[in-house]
Amino acid sequence: MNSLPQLITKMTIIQKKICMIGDFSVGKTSLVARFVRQSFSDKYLTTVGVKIDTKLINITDDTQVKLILWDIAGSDALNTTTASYLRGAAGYLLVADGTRRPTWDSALNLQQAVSSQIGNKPFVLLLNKADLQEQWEIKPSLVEPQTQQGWKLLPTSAKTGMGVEEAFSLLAKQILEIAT
Amino acid sequence: MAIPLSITKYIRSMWMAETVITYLQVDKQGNLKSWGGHPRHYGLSNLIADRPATEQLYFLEGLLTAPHSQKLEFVGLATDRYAHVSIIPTTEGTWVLLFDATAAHDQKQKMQQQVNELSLLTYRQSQLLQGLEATRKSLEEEKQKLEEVIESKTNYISTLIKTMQMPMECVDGYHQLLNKVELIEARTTDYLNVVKNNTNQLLSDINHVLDETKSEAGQVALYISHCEIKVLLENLVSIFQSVAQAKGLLFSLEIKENVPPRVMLDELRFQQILINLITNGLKFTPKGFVTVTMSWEREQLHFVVADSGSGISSEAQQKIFMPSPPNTTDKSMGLAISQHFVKLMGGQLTVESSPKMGSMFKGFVVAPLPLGP
Repeated sequence: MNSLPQLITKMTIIQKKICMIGDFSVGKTSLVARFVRQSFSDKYLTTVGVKIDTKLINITDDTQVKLILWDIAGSDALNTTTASYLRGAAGYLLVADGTRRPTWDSALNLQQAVSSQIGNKPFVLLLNKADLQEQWEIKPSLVEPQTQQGWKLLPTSAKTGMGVEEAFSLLAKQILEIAT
Repeated sequence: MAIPLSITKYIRSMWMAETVITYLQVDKQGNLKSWGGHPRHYGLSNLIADRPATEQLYFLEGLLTAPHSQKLEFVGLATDRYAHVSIIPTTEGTWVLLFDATAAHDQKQKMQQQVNELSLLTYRQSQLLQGLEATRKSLEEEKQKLEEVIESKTNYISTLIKTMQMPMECVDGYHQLLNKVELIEARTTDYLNVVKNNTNQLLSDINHVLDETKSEAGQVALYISHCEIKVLLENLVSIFQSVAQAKGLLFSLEIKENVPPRVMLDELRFQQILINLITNGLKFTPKGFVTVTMSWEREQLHFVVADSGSGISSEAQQKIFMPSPPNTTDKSMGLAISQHFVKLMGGQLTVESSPKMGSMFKGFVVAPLPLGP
Protein backbone atom coordinates (compact mmCIF):
# COMPACT_ATOMS: atom_id res chain seq x y z
CA MET A 1 0.00 0.00 0.00
CA ASN A 2 2.89 2.29 0.74
CA SER A 3 3.92 2.23 -2.89
CA LEU A 4 0.57 3.72 -4.06
CA PRO A 5 0.64 7.43 -4.84
CA GLN A 6 -1.08 9.76 -2.42
CA LEU A 7 -4.03 10.88 -4.58
CA ILE A 8 -5.99 12.83 -2.03
CA THR A 9 -4.24 15.46 0.03
CA LYS A 10 -6.05 16.70 3.10
CA MET A 11 -6.54 20.46 2.68
CA THR A 12 -6.16 22.55 5.81
CA ILE A 13 -8.40 25.61 6.00
CA ILE A 14 -7.41 28.29 8.48
CA GLN A 15 -9.79 31.14 9.25
CA LYS A 16 -8.36 34.58 10.04
CA LYS A 17 -9.97 37.93 10.73
CA ILE A 18 -8.24 40.89 9.11
CA CYS A 19 -9.24 44.56 9.23
CA MET A 20 -9.05 47.32 6.66
CA ILE A 21 -7.83 50.49 8.38
CA GLY A 22 -7.32 53.99 6.97
CA ASP A 23 -8.70 57.48 6.47
CA PHE A 24 -11.97 57.98 4.60
CA SER A 25 -12.06 57.66 0.81
CA VAL A 26 -8.65 56.00 0.55
CA GLY A 27 -10.21 52.99 -1.21
CA LYS A 28 -10.57 50.31 1.50
CA THR A 29 -14.01 49.18 0.28
CA SER A 30 -12.83 49.27 -3.34
CA LEU A 31 -9.82 47.11 -2.48
CA VAL A 32 -12.11 44.54 -0.85
CA ALA A 33 -14.52 44.67 -3.82
CA ARG A 34 -11.63 44.12 -6.23
CA PHE A 35 -10.21 41.31 -4.12
CA VAL A 36 -13.49 39.49 -3.37
CA ARG A 37 -15.62 40.22 -6.44
CA GLN A 38 -13.09 41.45 -9.05
CA SER A 39 -15.23 44.56 -9.46
CA PHE A 40 -14.63 48.30 -9.27
CA SER A 41 -16.82 51.39 -9.22
CA ASP A 42 -15.63 55.00 -9.54
CA LYS A 43 -18.55 56.15 -7.40
CA TYR A 44 -17.50 56.96 -3.84
CA LEU A 45 -19.79 55.42 -1.22
CA THR A 46 -18.93 56.13 2.40
CA THR A 47 -18.78 53.12 4.69
CA VAL A 48 -20.61 53.49 7.98
CA GLY A 49 -19.85 50.96 10.70
CA VAL A 50 -18.24 47.87 9.24
CA LYS A 51 -18.90 45.60 6.27
CA ILE A 52 -17.87 41.98 6.54
CA ASP A 53 -16.82 39.82 3.59
CA THR A 54 -14.94 36.57 3.19
CA LYS A 55 -12.46 35.24 0.70
CA LEU A 56 -10.71 31.88 0.52
CA ILE A 57 -7.15 31.99 -0.78
CA ASN A 58 -4.51 29.34 -1.34
CA ILE A 59 -1.33 29.94 0.59
CA THR A 60 0.45 26.67 -0.08
CA ASP A 61 -0.51 23.47 -1.90
CA ASP A 62 -2.15 22.13 1.21
CA THR A 63 -3.15 25.28 3.05
CA GLN A 64 -6.02 27.60 2.40
CA VAL A 65 -6.88 30.64 4.43
CA LYS A 66 -10.38 31.92 4.76
CA LEU A 67 -9.95 35.66 5.30
CA ILE A 68 -12.76 37.32 7.22
CA LEU A 69 -12.44 40.89 5.95
CA TRP A 70 -13.65 43.66 8.21
CA ASP A 71 -13.93 46.77 6.09
CA ILE A 72 -14.07 49.44 8.79
CA ALA A 73 -15.44 52.97 8.24
CA GLY A 74 -12.63 55.37 7.36
CA SER A 75 -11.34 57.78 9.95
CA ASP A 76 -8.17 59.70 10.69
CA ALA A 77 -8.17 58.41 14.27
CA LEU A 78 -9.44 55.43 16.19
CA ASN A 79 -12.65 56.03 18.15
CA THR A 80 -14.49 53.74 20.56
CA THR A 81 -16.74 52.30 17.86
CA THR A 82 -14.00 51.54 15.35
CA ALA A 83 -11.74 50.21 18.11
CA SER A 84 -14.44 47.67 19.04
CA TYR A 85 -14.24 46.15 15.56
CA LEU A 86 -10.56 45.29 15.98
CA ARG A 87 -11.00 42.58 18.61
CA GLY A 88 -9.85 39.18 17.39
CA ALA A 89 -8.06 40.54 14.30
CA ALA A 90 -5.01 38.50 13.27
CA GLY A 91 -3.62 41.37 11.16
CA TYR A 92 -4.64 44.40 9.17
CA LEU A 93 -4.16 46.29 5.97
CA LEU A 94 -3.34 49.94 6.56
CA VAL A 95 -4.45 52.00 3.56
CA ALA A 96 -3.42 55.49 2.43
CA ASP A 97 -4.47 57.41 -0.67
CA GLY A 98 -1.36 58.31 -2.68
CA THR A 99 -3.07 61.42 -4.03
CA ARG A 100 -3.78 62.87 -0.54
CA ARG A 101 -0.78 63.50 1.67
CA PRO A 102 -2.82 63.81 4.93
CA THR A 103 -4.00 60.20 4.57
CA TRP A 104 -0.38 59.11 5.04
CA ASP A 105 -0.23 60.92 8.39
CA SER A 106 -3.56 59.33 9.32
CA ALA A 107 -2.17 55.88 8.46
CA LEU A 108 0.81 56.43 10.75
CA ASN A 109 -1.41 57.62 13.60
CA LEU A 110 -3.84 54.76 13.10
CA GLN A 111 -1.03 52.19 13.10
CA GLN A 112 0.06 53.36 16.54
CA ALA A 113 -3.50 53.42 17.83
CA VAL A 114 -4.27 49.92 16.47
CA SER A 115 -1.04 48.55 17.95
CA SER A 116 -1.92 49.87 21.36
CA GLN A 117 -5.41 48.40 21.00
CA ILE A 118 -4.70 44.85 19.76
CA GLY A 119 -0.95 44.49 20.18
CA ASN A 120 1.79 44.01 17.65
CA LYS A 121 -0.10 42.28 14.83
CA PRO A 122 1.15 41.87 11.25
CA PHE A 123 0.12 44.58 8.83
CA VAL A 124 0.86 45.76 5.31
CA LEU A 125 0.68 49.43 4.34
CA LEU A 126 -0.98 50.00 0.98
CA LEU A 127 -0.48 53.16 -1.06
CA ASN A 128 -3.66 53.01 -3.06
CA LYS A 129 -4.73 54.80 -6.29
CA ALA A 130 -1.48 53.90 -8.04
CA ASP A 131 -3.33 54.43 -11.33
CA LEU A 132 -3.27 58.18 -10.55
CA GLN A 133 0.49 58.26 -10.06
CA GLU A 134 0.82 61.68 -11.71
CA GLN A 135 -1.33 63.18 -8.93
CA TRP A 136 0.57 61.55 -6.10
CA GLU A 137 1.42 63.68 -3.09
CA ILE A 138 3.05 60.84 -1.15
CA LYS A 139 6.64 60.93 -2.38
CA PRO A 140 9.25 58.16 -1.94
CA SER A 141 11.24 60.35 0.47
CA LEU A 142 8.18 60.55 2.73
CA VAL A 143 7.79 56.79 3.08
CA GLU A 144 11.50 56.04 3.42
CA PRO A 145 11.64 56.11 7.24
CA GLN A 146 8.89 53.46 7.40
CA THR A 147 10.49 51.20 4.80
CA GLN A 148 13.76 51.49 6.71
CA GLN A 149 11.90 50.33 9.82
CA GLY A 150 10.97 47.21 7.90
CA TRP A 151 7.34 48.08 7.17
CA LYS A 152 5.87 46.28 4.18
CA LEU A 153 4.63 48.87 1.70
CA LEU A 154 2.81 48.09 -1.53
CA PRO A 155 1.44 50.40 -4.22
CA THR A 156 -2.04 49.23 -5.17
CA SER A 157 -4.85 50.19 -7.49
CA ALA A 158 -8.33 48.92 -6.81
CA LYS A 159 -9.22 50.32 -10.24
CA THR A 160 -6.70 48.29 -12.25
CA GLY A 161 -6.22 45.49 -9.70
CA MET A 162 -2.52 46.25 -9.44
CA GLY A 163 -1.00 44.82 -6.25
CA VAL A 164 -4.36 43.86 -4.73
CA GLU A 165 -4.02 40.05 -4.69
CA GLU A 166 -0.39 40.44 -3.60
CA ALA A 167 -1.39 42.67 -0.69
CA PHE A 168 -3.90 40.26 0.81
CA SER A 169 -1.68 37.28 0.10
CA LEU A 170 1.34 38.96 1.70
CA LEU A 171 -0.63 39.75 4.84
CA ALA A 172 -2.02 36.21 5.03
CA LYS A 173 1.50 34.77 4.78
CA GLN A 174 2.77 37.12 7.47
CA ILE A 175 -0.07 36.09 9.74
CA LEU A 176 0.59 32.39 9.18
CA GLU A 177 4.31 32.75 9.78
CA ILE A 178 3.53 34.35 13.11
CA ALA A 179 0.87 31.77 13.89
CA THR A 180 3.10 28.76 13.17
CA MET B 1 -31.01 25.48 27.88
CA ALA B 2 -33.31 28.18 29.29
CA ILE B 3 -32.93 31.80 28.26
CA PRO B 4 -31.57 33.73 31.25
CA LEU B 5 -33.94 36.33 32.67
CA SER B 6 -31.54 39.22 31.94
CA ILE B 7 -31.40 38.26 28.26
CA THR B 8 -35.16 37.93 28.11
CA LYS B 9 -35.63 41.40 29.59
CA TYR B 10 -33.13 42.89 27.17
CA ILE B 11 -34.81 41.26 24.18
CA ARG B 12 -38.22 42.39 25.37
CA SER B 13 -37.09 46.00 25.70
CA MET B 14 -35.73 45.95 22.16
CA TRP B 15 -38.88 44.20 20.94
CA MET B 16 -40.92 47.00 22.38
CA ALA B 17 -38.79 49.37 20.33
CA GLU B 18 -39.99 47.48 17.22
CA THR B 19 -36.50 46.30 16.37
CA VAL B 20 -36.12 43.09 14.38
CA ILE B 21 -34.21 40.77 16.65
CA THR B 22 -32.23 37.62 16.02
CA TYR B 23 -30.46 35.64 18.68
CA LEU B 24 -27.88 32.89 18.54
CA GLN B 25 -26.60 30.75 21.34
CA VAL B 26 -23.08 29.32 21.40
CA ASP B 27 -21.86 26.83 23.99
CA LYS B 28 -18.58 26.87 25.92
CA GLN B 29 -16.91 24.76 23.20
CA GLY B 30 -17.81 27.32 20.54
CA ASN B 31 -20.54 25.20 18.93
CA LEU B 32 -23.81 26.74 17.80
CA LYS B 33 -26.55 25.43 20.06
CA SER B 34 -29.70 27.26 19.11
CA TRP B 35 -31.06 30.35 17.39
CA GLY B 36 -34.24 32.33 16.97
CA GLY B 37 -35.71 35.40 15.35
CA HIS B 38 -34.74 36.12 11.77
CA PRO B 39 -31.25 34.83 10.91
CA ARG B 40 -32.20 34.76 7.20
CA HIS B 41 -32.73 38.51 7.47
CA TYR B 42 -28.91 38.70 7.60
CA GLY B 43 -28.25 35.95 5.09
CA LEU B 44 -27.57 33.46 7.88
CA SER B 45 -29.18 30.34 6.45
CA ASN B 46 -28.49 26.59 6.67
CA LEU B 47 -27.40 26.88 10.27
CA ILE B 48 -26.47 23.56 11.84
CA ALA B 49 -26.59 22.94 15.56
CA ASP B 50 -23.59 21.49 17.40
CA ARG B 51 -21.18 22.63 14.71
CA PRO B 52 -18.50 25.34 15.32
CA ALA B 53 -20.21 28.75 15.34
CA THR B 54 -17.34 30.62 13.64
CA GLU B 55 -17.55 28.28 10.60
CA GLN B 56 -21.18 29.33 10.12
CA LEU B 57 -21.12 32.85 11.49
CA TYR B 58 -17.84 34.25 10.18
CA PHE B 59 -18.21 37.56 11.91
CA LEU B 60 -17.76 35.80 15.27
CA GLU B 61 -14.15 34.86 14.42
CA GLY B 62 -11.97 35.99 17.30
CA LEU B 63 -14.89 37.40 19.29
CA LEU B 64 -16.10 34.46 21.41
CA THR B 65 -13.19 34.40 23.81
CA ALA B 66 -13.83 37.79 25.38
CA PRO B 67 -14.70 37.56 29.09
CA HIS B 68 -17.07 40.55 28.99
CA SER B 69 -19.94 41.82 26.85
CA GLN B 70 -19.20 43.48 23.56
CA LYS B 71 -21.40 45.72 21.49
CA LEU B 72 -20.62 46.29 17.84
CA GLU B 73 -22.56 48.99 16.02
CA PHE B 74 -23.64 48.88 12.38
CA VAL B 75 -22.21 45.53 11.37
CA GLY B 76 -22.90 44.78 7.70
CA LEU B 77 -23.28 41.08 7.07
CA ALA B 78 -23.44 39.24 3.78
CA THR B 79 -26.61 41.00 2.68
CA ASP B 80 -27.33 44.72 2.67
CA ARG B 81 -28.65 44.44 6.21
CA TYR B 82 -26.91 46.09 9.11
CA ALA B 83 -27.23 45.10 12.73
CA HIS B 84 -26.09 46.25 16.13
CA VAL B 85 -24.47 43.11 17.52
CA SER B 86 -24.32 42.31 21.21
CA ILE B 87 -22.09 39.44 22.34
CA ILE B 88 -22.87 38.46 25.91
CA PRO B 89 -20.85 35.78 27.71
CA THR B 90 -22.74 33.70 30.29
CA THR B 91 -21.74 30.76 32.50
CA GLU B 92 -23.09 28.36 29.89
CA GLY B 93 -21.59 29.94 26.78
CA THR B 94 -22.26 33.05 24.72
CA TRP B 95 -25.39 34.78 23.50
CA VAL B 96 -25.21 36.72 20.28
CA LEU B 97 -27.99 39.21 19.64
CA LEU B 98 -28.54 41.00 16.36
CA PHE B 99 -30.73 44.11 16.37
CA ASP B 100 -31.65 45.38 12.95
CA ALA B 101 -30.10 48.80 12.33
CA THR B 102 -30.45 48.99 8.55
CA ALA B 103 -32.67 52.08 8.52
CA ALA B 104 -30.47 53.93 11.02
CA HIS B 105 -27.40 52.89 9.02
CA ASP B 106 -28.80 54.18 5.74
CA GLN B 107 -29.71 57.50 7.33
CA LYS B 108 -26.29 57.89 8.92
CA GLN B 109 -24.63 56.81 5.68
CA LYS B 110 -26.34 59.62 3.75
CA MET B 111 -25.20 62.22 6.27
CA GLN B 112 -21.66 60.87 6.46
CA GLN B 113 -21.47 60.75 2.66
CA GLN B 114 -22.21 64.48 2.49
CA VAL B 115 -19.68 65.29 5.20
CA ASN B 116 -16.96 63.25 3.51
CA GLU B 117 -17.68 64.59 0.02
CA LEU B 118 -17.54 68.15 1.35
CA SER B 119 -14.28 67.40 3.10
CA LEU B 120 -12.81 65.95 -0.12
CA LEU B 121 -13.99 68.99 -2.09
CA THR B 122 -12.45 71.36 0.44
CA TYR B 123 -9.17 69.47 0.28
CA ARG B 124 -9.10 69.53 -3.53
CA GLN B 125 -9.88 73.26 -3.50
CA SER B 126 -7.11 73.98 -1.03
CA GLN B 127 -4.68 71.95 -3.17
CA LEU B 128 -5.81 73.91 -6.24
CA LEU B 129 -5.26 77.20 -4.43
CA GLN B 130 -1.82 76.06 -3.33
CA GLY B 131 -1.05 75.20 -6.95
CA LEU B 132 -2.23 78.62 -8.10
CA GLU B 133 -0.15 80.31 -5.42
CA ALA B 134 2.91 78.35 -6.54
CA THR B 135 2.25 79.42 -10.15
CA ARG B 136 1.83 83.04 -9.06
CA LYS B 137 5.15 82.93 -7.17
CA SER B 138 6.86 81.39 -10.15
CA LEU B 139 5.45 84.10 -12.44
CA GLU B 140 6.52 86.75 -9.96
CA GLU B 141 10.06 85.38 -10.06
CA GLU B 142 10.00 85.34 -13.86
CA LYS B 143 8.76 88.94 -13.86
CA GLN B 144 11.55 89.91 -11.50
CA LYS B 145 14.12 88.31 -13.81
CA LEU B 146 12.58 90.02 -16.83
CA GLU B 147 12.69 93.39 -15.10
CA GLU B 148 16.35 92.84 -14.34
CA VAL B 149 16.97 92.05 -18.02
CA ILE B 150 15.06 95.18 -19.10
CA GLU B 151 16.97 97.32 -16.62
CA SER B 152 20.24 95.91 -17.85
CA LYS B 153 19.17 96.57 -21.47
CA THR B 154 18.13 100.14 -20.58
CA ASN B 155 21.44 100.82 -18.92
CA TYR B 156 23.29 99.45 -21.92
CA ILE B 157 21.27 101.53 -24.42
CA SER B 158 21.57 104.66 -22.26
CA THR B 159 25.35 104.28 -22.19
CA LEU B 160 25.45 103.63 -25.92
CA ILE B 161 23.33 106.69 -26.69
CA LYS B 162 25.40 108.93 -24.46
CA THR B 163 28.49 107.88 -26.38
CA MET B 164 26.63 108.70 -29.64
CA GLN B 165 25.34 112.05 -28.39
CA MET B 166 28.79 113.44 -27.73
CA PRO B 167 30.13 113.27 -31.31
CA MET B 168 26.74 114.45 -32.65
CA GLU B 169 26.85 117.50 -30.39
CA CYS B 170 30.40 118.07 -31.58
CA VAL B 171 29.22 118.06 -35.21
CA ASP B 172 26.45 120.48 -34.24
CA GLY B 173 28.95 122.80 -32.55
CA TYR B 174 31.27 122.88 -35.56
CA HIS B 175 28.26 123.57 -37.80
CA GLN B 176 27.44 126.64 -35.74
CA LEU B 177 31.05 127.79 -35.92
CA LEU B 178 31.06 127.35 -39.69
CA ASN B 179 27.88 129.44 -39.96
CA LYS B 180 29.72 132.30 -38.28
CA VAL B 181 32.54 132.21 -40.83
CA GLU B 182 32.21 135.20 -43.12
CA LEU B 183 32.29 135.10 -46.91
CA ILE B 184 31.04 131.57 -46.98
CA GLU B 185 29.75 130.46 -50.36
CA ALA B 186 25.96 130.17 -50.86
CA ARG B 187 26.34 126.55 -52.01
CA THR B 188 28.26 125.74 -48.83
CA THR B 189 25.43 127.27 -46.78
CA ASP B 190 23.01 124.90 -48.47
CA TYR B 191 25.25 121.96 -47.67
CA LEU B 192 25.53 123.14 -44.07
CA ASN B 193 21.73 123.36 -43.80
CA VAL B 194 21.46 119.77 -44.99
CA VAL B 195 24.06 118.76 -42.38
CA LYS B 196 22.09 120.72 -39.76
CA ASN B 197 18.75 119.12 -40.65
CA ASN B 198 20.19 115.64 -40.66
CA THR B 199 22.00 116.22 -37.40
CA ASN B 200 18.76 117.42 -35.81
CA GLN B 201 16.92 114.40 -37.15
CA LEU B 202 19.59 112.03 -35.88
CA LEU B 203 19.63 113.67 -32.43
CA SER B 204 15.86 113.49 -32.30
CA ASP B 205 15.91 109.78 -33.25
CA ILE B 206 18.53 109.05 -30.62
CA ASN B 207 16.36 110.80 -28.00
CA HIS B 208 13.34 108.75 -29.09
CA VAL B 209 15.24 105.51 -28.63
CA LEU B 210 16.40 106.65 -25.21
CA ASP B 211 12.91 107.73 -24.15
CA GLU B 212 11.24 104.58 -25.43
CA THR B 213 13.80 102.45 -23.61
CA LYS B 214 13.26 104.39 -20.39
CA SER B 215 9.52 104.26 -20.90
CA GLU B 216 9.62 100.44 -21.22
CA ALA B 217 11.54 100.27 -17.97
CA GLY B 218 9.15 102.78 -16.36
CA GLN B 219 12.03 105.15 -15.64
CA VAL B 220 10.74 108.34 -17.24
CA ALA B 221 10.52 111.07 -14.61
CA LEU B 222 9.20 114.59 -15.11
CA TYR B 223 11.23 117.69 -14.31
CA ILE B 224 8.72 120.47 -13.69
CA SER B 225 10.11 123.99 -13.96
CA HIS B 226 9.19 127.48 -15.10
CA CYS B 227 8.61 127.40 -18.83
CA GLU B 228 8.45 130.44 -21.05
CA ILE B 229 5.95 129.04 -23.44
CA LYS B 230 6.27 131.69 -26.15
CA VAL B 231 10.07 131.32 -26.30
CA LEU B 232 9.66 127.56 -26.56
CA LEU B 233 7.22 127.91 -29.46
CA GLU B 234 9.34 130.45 -31.31
CA ASN B 235 12.30 128.05 -31.12
CA LEU B 236 10.12 125.39 -32.71
CA VAL B 237 9.15 127.71 -35.53
CA SER B 238 12.81 128.49 -36.22
CA ILE B 239 13.60 124.78 -36.36
CA PHE B 240 10.75 123.77 -38.67
CA GLN B 241 10.24 126.86 -40.84
CA SER B 242 13.14 126.00 -43.16
CA VAL B 243 11.97 122.36 -43.50
CA ALA B 244 8.43 123.52 -44.36
CA GLN B 245 9.71 126.04 -46.88
CA ALA B 246 11.93 123.42 -48.50
CA LYS B 247 8.82 121.26 -49.03
CA GLY B 248 6.73 124.25 -50.16
CA LEU B 249 4.42 123.95 -47.16
CA LEU B 250 2.85 126.69 -45.09
CA PHE B 251 3.89 126.33 -41.45
CA SER B 252 2.12 128.61 -39.00
CA LEU B 253 1.80 129.03 -35.28
CA GLU B 254 -1.13 130.63 -33.45
CA ILE B 255 -0.87 131.45 -29.77
CA LYS B 256 -4.22 132.41 -28.23
CA GLU B 257 -4.30 135.44 -25.97
CA ASN B 258 -5.17 133.43 -22.90
CA VAL B 259 -1.80 131.63 -22.98
CA PRO B 260 0.22 133.01 -20.05
CA PRO B 261 3.86 133.92 -20.60
CA ARG B 262 5.06 131.37 -18.04
CA VAL B 263 3.65 128.05 -16.84
CA MET B 264 4.93 125.14 -14.79
CA LEU B 265 5.74 122.03 -16.83
CA ASP B 266 8.50 119.73 -18.02
CA GLU B 267 9.71 121.93 -20.82
CA LEU B 268 11.92 119.34 -22.49
CA ARG B 269 9.18 116.68 -22.61
CA PHE B 270 6.55 119.15 -23.81
CA GLN B 271 8.86 120.36 -26.54
CA GLN B 272 9.48 116.78 -27.55
CA ILE B 273 5.72 116.10 -27.82
CA LEU B 274 5.30 119.08 -30.17
CA ILE B 275 8.44 118.18 -32.20
CA ASN B 276 7.07 114.65 -32.72
CA LEU B 277 3.65 115.90 -33.85
CA ILE B 278 5.05 118.63 -36.13
CA THR B 279 7.67 116.27 -37.63
CA ASN B 280 4.92 113.79 -38.48
CA GLY B 281 2.73 116.55 -39.93
CA LEU B 282 5.49 117.80 -42.18
CA LYS B 283 6.54 114.29 -43.15
CA PHE B 284 3.08 113.15 -44.32
CA THR B 285 1.90 116.40 -45.90
CA PRO B 286 2.97 116.63 -49.54
CA LYS B 287 1.27 120.00 -50.07
CA GLY B 288 -0.78 122.50 -48.11
CA PHE B 289 -0.16 123.41 -44.50
CA VAL B 290 0.83 122.40 -41.02
CA THR B 291 -0.51 124.62 -38.23
CA VAL B 292 0.07 124.66 -34.50
CA THR B 293 -2.50 126.31 -32.22
CA MET B 294 -1.90 126.85 -28.53
CA SER B 295 -4.40 127.89 -25.85
CA TRP B 296 -4.58 127.78 -22.03
CA GLU B 297 -7.60 127.15 -19.85
CA ARG B 298 -8.09 126.05 -16.23
CA GLU B 299 -4.40 125.29 -15.71
CA GLN B 300 -4.25 123.18 -18.85
CA LEU B 301 -2.16 123.98 -21.88
CA HIS B 302 -4.10 122.85 -24.97
CA PHE B 303 -2.48 122.26 -28.32
CA VAL B 304 -3.67 121.32 -31.78
CA VAL B 305 -1.35 120.24 -34.59
CA ALA B 306 -3.31 120.11 -37.86
CA ASP B 307 -2.17 119.29 -41.37
CA SER B 308 -3.59 118.89 -44.85
CA GLY B 309 -1.69 115.63 -45.38
CA SER B 310 -2.54 112.11 -46.44
CA GLY B 311 -4.62 111.40 -43.34
CA ILE B 312 -4.91 108.24 -41.27
CA SER B 313 -7.42 105.42 -41.73
CA SER B 314 -9.62 104.58 -38.74
CA GLU B 315 -7.90 101.18 -38.54
CA ALA B 316 -4.48 102.81 -38.35
CA GLN B 317 -5.76 105.28 -35.74
CA GLN B 318 -6.40 102.32 -33.40
CA LYS B 319 -2.69 101.46 -33.47
CA ILE B 320 -1.08 104.82 -33.93
CA PHE B 321 -0.30 105.39 -30.25
CA MET B 322 0.92 101.85 -29.63
CA PRO B 323 4.66 101.27 -29.26
CA SER B 324 6.01 100.01 -32.58
CA PRO B 325 7.69 96.62 -32.46
CA PRO B 326 11.40 96.55 -33.08
CA ASN B 327 12.73 96.18 -36.64
CA THR B 328 9.67 97.74 -38.25
CA THR B 329 9.60 100.84 -40.39
CA ASP B 330 8.01 103.33 -38.04
CA LYS B 331 5.86 105.69 -40.05
CA SER B 332 4.68 107.63 -37.04
CA MET B 333 7.86 108.12 -35.14
CA GLY B 334 7.42 109.06 -31.52
CA LEU B 335 3.60 109.07 -31.30
CA ALA B 336 3.59 106.32 -28.68
CA ILE B 337 6.16 108.15 -26.59
CA SER B 338 4.27 111.43 -27.07
CA GLN B 339 1.11 109.79 -25.79
CA HIS B 340 3.08 108.39 -22.85
CA PHE B 341 4.52 111.83 -21.99
CA VAL B 342 1.11 113.52 -22.30
CA LYS B 343 -0.37 111.01 -19.85
CA LEU B 344 2.56 111.46 -17.49
CA MET B 345 1.88 115.19 -17.61
CA GLY B 346 -1.75 114.63 -16.59
CA GLY B 347 -3.31 115.15 -20.00
CA GLN B 348 -4.50 113.27 -23.03
CA LEU B 349 -3.79 113.10 -26.72
CA THR B 350 -6.28 112.18 -29.46
CA VAL B 351 -6.37 112.19 -33.22
CA GLU B 352 -9.09 113.08 -35.70
CA SER B 353 -8.39 112.12 -39.27
CA SER B 354 -9.59 110.45 -42.42
CA PRO B 355 -7.64 109.40 -45.51
CA LYS B 356 -6.72 112.28 -47.85
CA MET B 357 -8.46 114.78 -45.53
CA GLY B 358 -5.51 115.59 -43.29
CA SER B 359 -5.07 114.95 -39.58
CA MET B 360 -5.65 116.87 -36.39
CA PHE B 361 -3.82 115.89 -33.21
CA LYS B 362 -5.47 117.49 -30.18
CA GLY B 363 -4.20 117.32 -26.66
CA PHE B 364 -3.48 119.03 -23.41
CA VAL B 365 -1.09 118.86 -20.49
CA VAL B 366 -1.44 120.17 -16.95
CA ALA B 367 0.44 123.47 -16.79
CA PRO B 368 -0.42 125.62 -13.76
CA LEU B 369 0.71 129.17 -13.31
CA PRO B 370 3.90 129.61 -11.29
CA LEU B 371 3.47 130.57 -7.65
CA GLY B 372 4.70 134.03 -6.74
CA PRO B 373 6.04 136.67 -9.15
